[in-house]
Amino acid sequence: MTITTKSVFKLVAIPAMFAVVIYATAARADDDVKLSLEWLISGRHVGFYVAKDKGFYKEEGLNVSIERGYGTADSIKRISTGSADFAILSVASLMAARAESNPPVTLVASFFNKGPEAILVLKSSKITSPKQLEGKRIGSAGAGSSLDLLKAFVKTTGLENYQSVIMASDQTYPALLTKQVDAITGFTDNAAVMRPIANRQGDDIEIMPYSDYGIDNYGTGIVVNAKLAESKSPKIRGFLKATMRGVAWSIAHPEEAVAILKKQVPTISPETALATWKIDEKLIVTDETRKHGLGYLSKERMQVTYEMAQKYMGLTKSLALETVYTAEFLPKIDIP
Amino acid sequence: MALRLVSSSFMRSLGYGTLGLSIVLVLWELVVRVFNISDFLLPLPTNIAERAFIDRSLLLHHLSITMIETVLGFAAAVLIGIVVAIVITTSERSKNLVMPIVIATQLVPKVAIAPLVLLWFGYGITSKVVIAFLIAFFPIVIDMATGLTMVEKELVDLLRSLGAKRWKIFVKAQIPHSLPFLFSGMRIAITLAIIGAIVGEFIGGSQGVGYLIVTSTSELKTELVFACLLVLTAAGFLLFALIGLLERIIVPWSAAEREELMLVTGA
Amino acid sequence: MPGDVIALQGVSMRYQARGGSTLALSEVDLQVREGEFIAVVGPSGCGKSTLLKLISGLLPATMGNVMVGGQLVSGPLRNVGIVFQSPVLMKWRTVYENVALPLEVLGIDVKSRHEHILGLLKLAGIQDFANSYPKELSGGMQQRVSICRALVHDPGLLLLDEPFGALDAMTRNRMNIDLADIWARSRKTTILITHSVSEAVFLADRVVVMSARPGRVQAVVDVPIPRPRTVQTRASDDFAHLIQQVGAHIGFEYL
Repeated sequence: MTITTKSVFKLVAIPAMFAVVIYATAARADDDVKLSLEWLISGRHVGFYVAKDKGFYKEEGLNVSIERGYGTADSIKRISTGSADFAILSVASLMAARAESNPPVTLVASFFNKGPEAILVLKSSKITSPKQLEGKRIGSAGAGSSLDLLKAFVKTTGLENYQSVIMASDQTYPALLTKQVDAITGFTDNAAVMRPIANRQGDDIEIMPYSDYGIDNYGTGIVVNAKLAESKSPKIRGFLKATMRGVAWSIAHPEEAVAILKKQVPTISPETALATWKIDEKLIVTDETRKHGLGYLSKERMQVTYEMAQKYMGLTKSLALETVYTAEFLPKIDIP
Repeated sequence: MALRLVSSSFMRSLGYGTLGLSIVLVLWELVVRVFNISDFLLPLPTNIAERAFIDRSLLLHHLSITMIETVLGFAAAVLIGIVVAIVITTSERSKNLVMPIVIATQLVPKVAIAPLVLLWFGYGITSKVVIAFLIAFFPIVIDMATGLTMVEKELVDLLRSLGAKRWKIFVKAQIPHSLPFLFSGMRIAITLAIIGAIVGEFIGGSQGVGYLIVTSTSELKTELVFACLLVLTAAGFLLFALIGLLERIIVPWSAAEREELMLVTGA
Repeated sequence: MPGDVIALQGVSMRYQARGGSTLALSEVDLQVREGEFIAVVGPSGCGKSTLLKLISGLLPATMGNVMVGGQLVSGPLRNVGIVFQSPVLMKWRTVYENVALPLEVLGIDVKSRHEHILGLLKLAGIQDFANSYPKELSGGMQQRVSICRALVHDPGLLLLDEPFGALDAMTRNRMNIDLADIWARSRKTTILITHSVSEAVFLADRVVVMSARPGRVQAVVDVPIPRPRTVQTRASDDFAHLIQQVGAHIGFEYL
């Protein structure tokens, strides 16, 4: 090849153009973001998987990977160490942790706007009101907000005598279904798992949500590392916007949402997931979110949640609430 | 010596085993139907089989993960176990140095330290391999060490009288002598390695049969739990048989001897 | 004495144990000529096995001199063949491979001795089992393999420590005859340790009688019976007479 001006130009310009293109696309590449759920993947989480599948996250320049979680303590650790960027956890438990050891975790949106804690009974037990739990056996997993807030439930409903039976967390369903206990504490969407079996026994599951009895705490919420919140990173707003769009879409198209979940998570059983989501919708669509948009956080209800954590979760130190959460990143996504 | 991969006694025990298993399954099916046992407590064998078939690709996928963890942990246990066994049989001093550590790995309940292992090695495959290794390691060391040291004294004297030094005695007598013992340990170790992998998956992670059992239990999908157990048992049998096959190839004189012994004692 | 291939001079052996020490041998003097077949008899605890260990160089004497081939024994001789009471064959090797073992250890090319090995097997009557594994053979046949193994490297010394002690009486008598035959071919200097006086007299040129606690040479009885020794030898008067002679030293209750 002879050396001419043209050949030199080609030799230099073409690689240079490649470099520019590569740099440009790299600069516009998506941010890798890790979401850690609160526990195992279930129908609760359709919104996130829809946001992923439909490209809502991508529109915000985010490449989201979703992982199962191992409880609030673990989620707090992951956010603190940066091994997860976003996580879901119980708001009251977050407050307890912040008061105790002040991990750098900030609440940026509500997920279960209403508390999911509830009493669950078999229909055949004929227990339809809290008073009828008088003298009965109530089974609970040893740790968890539904056991902690049972004390609040007892207070507001005037229930005086009941037998508390503590068991391992995977024992509560069988205990209720085999009538070893008369009721269990848990989450409202637990009914979705137990209902098919109860039905096969000619029975059904009845739910008594604590929130029906004046217990107005926030359930779960989405958190980020405090530093990230302080830096006002646009990732947070983008993530919340895409997530709430996914949630909204799932409210409007529940069956398709479950199908999308199943596609990405083969271990999901669609019937259970759909039943779970239908129950969880009631926790996400509340007066507050209907008015202010999905994921809303209000000062008043944060205060209520705080007082409950203080009274019933053994908070010893006080907490400056404003440091625990911020509503500045909330998108205004309406309920469809 | 002819290499019989599948002996007549093996076929015989396979036949009886299948018969025994069939009787158990029929009884199981009858008991559930007659006593109307709820399916989330004890599913029918036929339903379990159906579920296993329907979810076969799911089961296979997660089983492959568990098997990778098991085999890697087992391989590490065998390799490191052999090395440690050789070290502790070399001298009294090295035995006193190393044995306490080995025994410590055995005494600490793996279920108790598993959460720590996951903390250190993460929630992926590595931590499960480590747990599988920790459980499977001990029998390999003990059995291999026994095999290395239990060479007949007269044979060693014979070799010494011919001027053989420690290395020659090690290579010509101790190593071949220890192989049947090693395989004995390997048979135990492989089943322990599976348990180790599953224990790790119970504690944390998003893959493997143990994880599948966790998610199935949380949603009362007892049929799938049993299908998982079925698949694990089958895999366990297969691995066990593979070790036996390996033994027939590498130490044919021992495998045959063991079989005869079992026939004689009726075991 | 010149011509002595083995000479023990004032040899004592003291074993140290946790509780104290045992004197296994006390001032043993023994001479063995080239090509001689010596049998050592005595009750348990007379140090017979210790004698073999000293001669083969596996153990050092605590006192006295052990000389083989005019040299002081200071370590394993390498030029010995040993047969123990238990055949101790390598289970993982065939009969042929077991016999070849000493050649391997001494660095001699086994292939070059192929015919020699086959010849030994034939001599011992086990040539049909060359490719069998030890577990396929009876006790007596395993001992034959052990004997072949002890001879394969053409050692200067053959040491046998109660080689037939684990066999039944009939097989034992048979093996005595076969050993006499095999020995006759090579006439190696041989020391046989045995409990059986009749075995000792049948096979040996001289019988060394030892007493126990501590081990001492009590008497040496010559066996002038001509060779080859056969089944008829056992029936002869001379044979019976010599047995009584040994019995006089050892105690007639042991015959």
